Amino acid sequence: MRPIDQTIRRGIFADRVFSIIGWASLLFCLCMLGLLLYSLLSDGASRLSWDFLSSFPSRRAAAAGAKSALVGSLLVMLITACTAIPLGIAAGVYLEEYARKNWFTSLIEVNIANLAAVPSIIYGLMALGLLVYQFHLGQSILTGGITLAFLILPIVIVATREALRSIPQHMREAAFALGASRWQVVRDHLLPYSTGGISTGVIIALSRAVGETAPLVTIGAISYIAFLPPSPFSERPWLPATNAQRAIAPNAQEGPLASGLDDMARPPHSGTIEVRVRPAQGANTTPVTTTLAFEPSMSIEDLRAAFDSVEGLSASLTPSGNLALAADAGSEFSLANDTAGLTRALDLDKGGGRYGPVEWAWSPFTVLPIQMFNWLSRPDEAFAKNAAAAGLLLMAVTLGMNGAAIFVRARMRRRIKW
Amino acid sequence: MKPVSTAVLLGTLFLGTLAHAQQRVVKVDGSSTVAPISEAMAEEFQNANKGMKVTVGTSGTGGGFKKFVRGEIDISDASRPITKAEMEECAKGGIEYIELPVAFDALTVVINKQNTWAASMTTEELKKLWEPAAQGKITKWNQIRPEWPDAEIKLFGAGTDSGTFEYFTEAVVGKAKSSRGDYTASEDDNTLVKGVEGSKYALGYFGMAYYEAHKSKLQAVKIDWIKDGKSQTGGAIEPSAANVIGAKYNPLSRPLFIYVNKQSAETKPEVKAFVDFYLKNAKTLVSEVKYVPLPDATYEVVSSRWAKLQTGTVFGGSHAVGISLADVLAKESK
Repeated sequence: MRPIDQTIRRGIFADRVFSIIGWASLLFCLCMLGLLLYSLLSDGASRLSWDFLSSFPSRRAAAAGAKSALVGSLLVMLITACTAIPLGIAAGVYLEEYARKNWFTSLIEVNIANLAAVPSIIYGLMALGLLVYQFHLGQSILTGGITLAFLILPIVIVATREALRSIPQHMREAAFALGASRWQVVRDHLLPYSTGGISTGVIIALSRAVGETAPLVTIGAISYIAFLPPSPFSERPWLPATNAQRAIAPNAQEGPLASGLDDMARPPHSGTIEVRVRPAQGANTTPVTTTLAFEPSMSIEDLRAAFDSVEGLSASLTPSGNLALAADAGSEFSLANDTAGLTRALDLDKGGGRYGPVEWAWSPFTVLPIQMFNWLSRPDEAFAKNAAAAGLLLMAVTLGMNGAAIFVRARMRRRIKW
Repeated sequence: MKPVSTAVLLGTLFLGTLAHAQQRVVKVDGSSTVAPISEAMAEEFQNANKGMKVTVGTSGTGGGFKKFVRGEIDISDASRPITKAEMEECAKGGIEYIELPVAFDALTVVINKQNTWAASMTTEELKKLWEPAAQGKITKWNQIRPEWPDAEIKLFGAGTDSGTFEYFTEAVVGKAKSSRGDYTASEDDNTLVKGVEGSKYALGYFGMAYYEAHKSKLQAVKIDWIKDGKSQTGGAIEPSAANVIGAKYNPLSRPLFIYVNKQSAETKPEVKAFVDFYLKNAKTLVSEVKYVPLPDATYEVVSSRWAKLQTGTVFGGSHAVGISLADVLAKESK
């Protein structure tokens, strides 16, 4: 038998060795992070300014900014969070607390774990087929956000389950013993106790999503955009003086348009439309309003004649079957209060009114990593600085999210007493 | 508990209030080579016309045409003329298009600053170096010309997904996408610049805009176009804006196009206004983003095609290698 002091000395030695290895690993990770930060800072710090945040991209490197990309990234993340967090947590809670343990739930479990390893571009291809072509959500912020939500759902589900599993079983048993229902246990005990773990998983998932480009490029995110999505309830522009409208049914776009056009371009039911005409940029002047009545029996020629009868507006049919509406020069118009369903049926622009609360979600968009790639591929080296600055922004967004997670975790831990 | 229920509530609210939104946007997509021109146009157009909106995507020429034939975009940026297959797709989808050349792009073959021997090369020599049969065999400079050094060539070229690769192989080897594979390929032209800059025995090719931006670090090779055993260009031609405009720097210069959906041109006033602006400002903005503008006379022909909304292509589905754009357009407009 070895003397006791030798055993202790060995233990202390092993302890030291391990702590040195651990310390060196930590140092290595920190050094890599530091190097990355240093290279980004040395390139991009000079470009980081309020101007960079508040300008749109430009062909002149010094004037270019990341406004549209930053707003795009934040809005896409908002949709991703609103979709993935409730769905993921609900699915995780169900699997962990409600589902019976049998071969079917095991199968689902294995597949969810597998989904987390699927390359992100596959999600992009699926979203292109499903969201863009099947559900006609367009190449929009909404599509982008939901695509990334699909991507991170498995991570959120797994994180939720792990967090729930770490709660001691006797907590559940105690609650049940006092007569609490399953939902009460989940709502009042399990979810609050696991918020820290869940929020960590959610933030890791969102941090992955914010750096993704492949699936977003696949669904049609664009690389140059110099306008922001419309704010909720902001005023929608009126239609300009010359405006050719599509007078075809939305679902008839695929084939050649010539035949059967007359049948498709009929008002779906009787009703009226108020046509308003006012001077261009005349937001404060009272528009001249004319109310037109429509019947399902009207043909495309009747529609044209109806619009043409409005004072200050002329309507004609183009050779390719479009209804062209034109206000007199220097004025603009809008089609309001459509009770005939004509604008919807014919996919006509209405103009005027205000944007809805979530209409921004249908806007085209770009995100920070795509903007970075765009700049990196420019011949002019000055754009590389912009790319580095955009990289710093991206890191700041991630850091902000991580900060939020740490805050939530700390708060939750303080509230839990067991 | 509260944050979770708020999130659930927000999620349902959000999904409950879906409403279709109409936005008046000019949608441009396609070649990443043409994108800098379209982006510059979009920038100035939006500055000049408040409230007008333009988006530019970079799905590649082929990717852009795929969206174009489905009617998803108004304008397709293309670094080559429309192909036969794409023309058929357009016909099937009922899409008519107006073909508008907007600028020249030139490829530059570059060598290291210290390279004293290869200041000019013929297209035959380039073919010998780049054709698929050269793979693993033509590895030294003296295999191209005996008097050149007995040193290994380091090759740098465009990645296989780019229009540049397609065009270079078409012009030099004679068949698009047919190239040796044992060279450093990158979609990022800055990588190629660094590679050629770093080795005395390097040779690479990329867009002229990149050469112009890195002129101080690289040397451009003058190109002598040999076809049927005869020089078509009357000696080696230096890649310069003047030689490209004068249709002398062949076959490594090519026209760049935008294809406009006729339906959009007729029915969306913002598309018409944007293309009007594009053609009017092409000369100044094209050179500002380091491409070569077309001659004035050619812009006039192009503008009249646009004014007449003349549809169809003048290239008949083939590549536009080494042909004079002015000649083709002039023939068409008669």
